[in-house]
Amino acid sequence: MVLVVTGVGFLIHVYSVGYMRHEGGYYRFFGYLNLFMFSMLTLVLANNLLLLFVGWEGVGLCSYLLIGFYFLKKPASDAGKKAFIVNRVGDTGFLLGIFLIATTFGTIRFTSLGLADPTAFPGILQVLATMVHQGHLAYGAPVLTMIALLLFVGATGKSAQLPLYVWLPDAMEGPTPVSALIHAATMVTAGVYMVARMNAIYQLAPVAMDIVAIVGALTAIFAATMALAQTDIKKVLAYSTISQLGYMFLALGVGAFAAGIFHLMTHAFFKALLFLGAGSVIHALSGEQDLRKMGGLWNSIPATSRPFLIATLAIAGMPPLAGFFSKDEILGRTIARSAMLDRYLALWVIGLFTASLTAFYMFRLLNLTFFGLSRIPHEVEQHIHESPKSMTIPLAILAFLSIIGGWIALPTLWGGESPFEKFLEPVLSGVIPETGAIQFAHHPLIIEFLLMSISVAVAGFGAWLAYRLYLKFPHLHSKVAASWPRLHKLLVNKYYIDELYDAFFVNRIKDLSTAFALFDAKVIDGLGVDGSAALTRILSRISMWWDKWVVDGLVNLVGKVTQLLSHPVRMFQTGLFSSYAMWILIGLAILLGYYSHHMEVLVRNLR
Amino acid sequence: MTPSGYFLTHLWLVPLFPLITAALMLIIGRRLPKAAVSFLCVGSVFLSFLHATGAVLGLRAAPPGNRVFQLILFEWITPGVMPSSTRSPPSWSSSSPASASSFMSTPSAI
Repeated sequence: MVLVVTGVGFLIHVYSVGYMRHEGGYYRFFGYLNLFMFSMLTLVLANNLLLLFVGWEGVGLCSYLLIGFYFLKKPASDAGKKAFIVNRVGDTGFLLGIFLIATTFGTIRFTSLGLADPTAFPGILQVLATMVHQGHLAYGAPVLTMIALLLFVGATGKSAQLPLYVWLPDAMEGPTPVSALIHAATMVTAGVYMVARMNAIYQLAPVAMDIVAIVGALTAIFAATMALAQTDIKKVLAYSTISQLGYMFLALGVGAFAAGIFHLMTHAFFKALLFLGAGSVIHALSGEQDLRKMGGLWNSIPATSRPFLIATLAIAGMPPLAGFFSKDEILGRTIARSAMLDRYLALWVIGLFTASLTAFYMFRLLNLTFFGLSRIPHEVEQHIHESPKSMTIPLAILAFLSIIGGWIALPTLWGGESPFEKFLEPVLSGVIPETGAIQFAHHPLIIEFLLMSISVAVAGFGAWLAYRLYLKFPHLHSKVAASWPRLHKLLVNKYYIDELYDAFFVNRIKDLSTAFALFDAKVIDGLGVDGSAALTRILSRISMWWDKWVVDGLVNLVGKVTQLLSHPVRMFQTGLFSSYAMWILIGLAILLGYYSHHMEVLVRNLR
Repeated sequence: MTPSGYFLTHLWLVPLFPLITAALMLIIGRRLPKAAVSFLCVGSVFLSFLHATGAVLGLRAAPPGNRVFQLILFEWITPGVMPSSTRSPPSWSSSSPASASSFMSTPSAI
């Protein structure tokens, strides 16, 4: 996985140098891209769930930033937000799963193997083994099922499975190298990686395993049918990615963890190649993404068209290319499981049918893009040019990897053990319970070869059908579409899932927020803020009245009384000198009158 | 014997290279010429790729049973003893502090 991330990542970086040359924000693009590489490597190299979660959120952030890279375009920024929000839904489950693991096992480290002092730092694997052996946890214990399902919710968000896949097709608004690196080769496989990493828990939770397998198979076929009718080259590839991720989860769900990781690896090669090839086509056509305006490009851009053919053959599962080995491994394991449990037979049929659909939509894409008559507008046709070397060399390397990537599984053809599986053994061995271990029936080689030829034949049928409909009789497909107008419309509109989500969740949440806004306006603002303002006004009015009539009134009363009492005194204070003189005279007369008797006595005594 | 060697003990360099260039780009990237941006960013990822290849080869060289490598760079969060679940606690939790997290490394290179 480290090799896949850094190897494919490196090729895509080289490619981006050519692709983004004419774009603004060149340094910003590469800054985000490197930040993504850091987060993805942290995710992959982490030895515990919390650090994995840091990387998990880091890649989510970079995904958001890069989808919305052309942030002046409304659909791009909307798609970025959609991806971010849908992923948060899944992350809630993932985080709860981590919490439940922490409280159940007391540790979130994967394993203590390879540490100097394993007893001091217990890992989930060791604690789980101890608990199982001591009988504290049984096979299929509810807490294990709960953990497994919560983690899987996180995986459905990141890896775009039902019901949380809706963000991935919209994510194609980002630059094409981003679609290749993040939304096809690396980040979206993080969910697969995480489930495979926690395989010890899943192996003990059969119900969760079944759910993973069913969700995977349903997503695979659901997304494949949606890819049939898309007209945007990148959207077809986006639905194809969802479908292939479904295959990986099917593999995990039937207990073929190594096969899931194997398909992850081969898928990284050919899907990166498909996206980069599509980017090269878009580059050649000066930004045209509509399949209906392509065609006949096979010879005009040979360094793009030939690797693209290889990738198409690889994803369709043609031997001996990479996709054949990994997809066949998954289908083979599913039917091997069905010998034990009948219900897996249905999953195998779905998987096989999806393989045929895959071949059909991929060859449809190939035929519409590179073969047939050119439907390119004249003025665009004049500017068709092959991409620069920095773009075509990564294509060639990825094409080479798409061819040989599956050969690591060659020994299984003659009944040997897969070296890939062997390499992953320390991680995937898990805890073997007393009962209920996952068992695979061993078919004789002849049946294995029969199964292989069935899947190749089915894929070939899909390719042949695409050839008939889109190349041999180019008008036939519109007739087919016209004969089932309802079905065609349903597929073109992607089962109206976006509209359903809008109707059931997005708009209902908007309604809820509107209700909250009303509550805010009427109750919090109305009753709370405005009400208290009114109350304050009333209280201040009362207070004012009190102030005016009682407090001031008392002061005024004192004043008035004083004034009233002083009135007689003021009568004398006329300010007229003559009246003062008169009063002085009157006073003197009174004094003299009063003392006249005493004066007589005084005068007499003096004599 | 656990696997060792330069590439495995320096595994932490793998995510570090892109982090350094990412920081460079987002801080001073605006002033760098395009050629320098391409060289730094692509070069750092290439260095990561080389180190990852070395690490995987180092793991392959080990005997199959020992293909696990883990390196604790630093203790990140060290909780006390976790409240055990309703089931009877596993024996280790009472004796040793259940250190939950530490930095990275890869047990077998999935």
